[in-house]
Amino acid sequence: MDFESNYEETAVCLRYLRNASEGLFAVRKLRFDRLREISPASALVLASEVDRWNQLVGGRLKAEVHRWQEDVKRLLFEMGYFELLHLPRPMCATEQNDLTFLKFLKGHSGEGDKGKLAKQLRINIEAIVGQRIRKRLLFDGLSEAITNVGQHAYPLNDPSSNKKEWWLSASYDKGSRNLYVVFYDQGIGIPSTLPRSTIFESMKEFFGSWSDSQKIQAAMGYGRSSTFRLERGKGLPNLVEFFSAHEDGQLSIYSHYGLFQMTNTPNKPRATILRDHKTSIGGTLIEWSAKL
Amino acid sequence: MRTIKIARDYSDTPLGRYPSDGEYNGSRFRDEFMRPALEQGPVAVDIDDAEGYGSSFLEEAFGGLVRGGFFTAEELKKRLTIEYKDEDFKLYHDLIWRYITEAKKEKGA
Repeated sequence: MDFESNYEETAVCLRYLRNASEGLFAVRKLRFDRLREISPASALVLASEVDRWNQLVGGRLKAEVHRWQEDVKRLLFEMGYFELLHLPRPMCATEQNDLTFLKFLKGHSGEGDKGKLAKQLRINIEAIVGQRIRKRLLFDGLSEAITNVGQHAYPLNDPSSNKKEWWLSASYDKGSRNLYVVFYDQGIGIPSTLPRSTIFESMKEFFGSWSDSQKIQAAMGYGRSSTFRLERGKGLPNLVEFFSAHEDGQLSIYSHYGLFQMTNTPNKPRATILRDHKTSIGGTLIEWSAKL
Repeated sequence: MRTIKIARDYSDTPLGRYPSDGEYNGSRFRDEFMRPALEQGPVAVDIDDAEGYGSSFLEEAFGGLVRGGFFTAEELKKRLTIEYKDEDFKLYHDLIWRYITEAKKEKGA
């Protein structure tokens, strides 16, 4: 499971779980014994889907953990999958490697001091990095991601909107000095909340030629938002600032069917990729990476 | 001149635009701190020592002064000073003035 290298298969598996939690069919057991690899980003989305299943369907999904691949089990163990889902922690052979994880965190944008929360997330991430990071820019990105979940991701007529939940994880590779931060919500996605600001965009939308990746790109433009108000929509570009401050870094935003990705490589112009998929990611996944 | 230090007088973790975003949001800072102070005379706002500032907070707190029809951008240029010592905060200084300059008074404000 990896959105970067195997998007469709990964997203289809997660969609299957989403459909089960919405009652379209019954699932009793998660079979991961044929799962060879899982990336931290897809592990975060998986954890959020199992969490959703637990809330909507109730009970516990059975998992024959002893049959899972050791690497998969270890990664999920180190990322805090079992704690998040209140599952018994399996025996895992520890392995000395350079990768340190910030265990899965779950929050909701409905209440509490989100500023203090964003600061605490920044401190937690700094703790695994073990050195000073561009903390203000990281705080700005995290605080705007949380604010966006509260303001836009879950519409009022969505039955899950009262929860406004999000999930976060981070990891740091001491060897390569790469920091990864992943933030996910199960909302309606950026493309669904973006208004058509011109007749041209309305026509493209009508004829189905305005893809989700193009809508995410439009939303990243300064001053665009779901509210039609000029002053709104200045938050999404905040997501760019942290990655922009590093000459070797990447920002990936998967939302609904689209991917918008920007990559900084030393001594090269910034590369932007737009990609559209057949299967929705079921919300919005934001992944920052930077070489520190 | 009155000085307002956001991290000391309001919050070191300001966030969001409206009360629904959190207690230390931009509209509350504008209405409870900026407007009363600016109505009395020149104001210096010290932006140092905060954890950071999201765009939503800055736009609502400062751009909102113009949008709401409380002051024009020209009046703010005469009455308002944004201060910082830490160079990390130059970004926010520039954003504040950008939002003030770009804000347009709303109809009916």
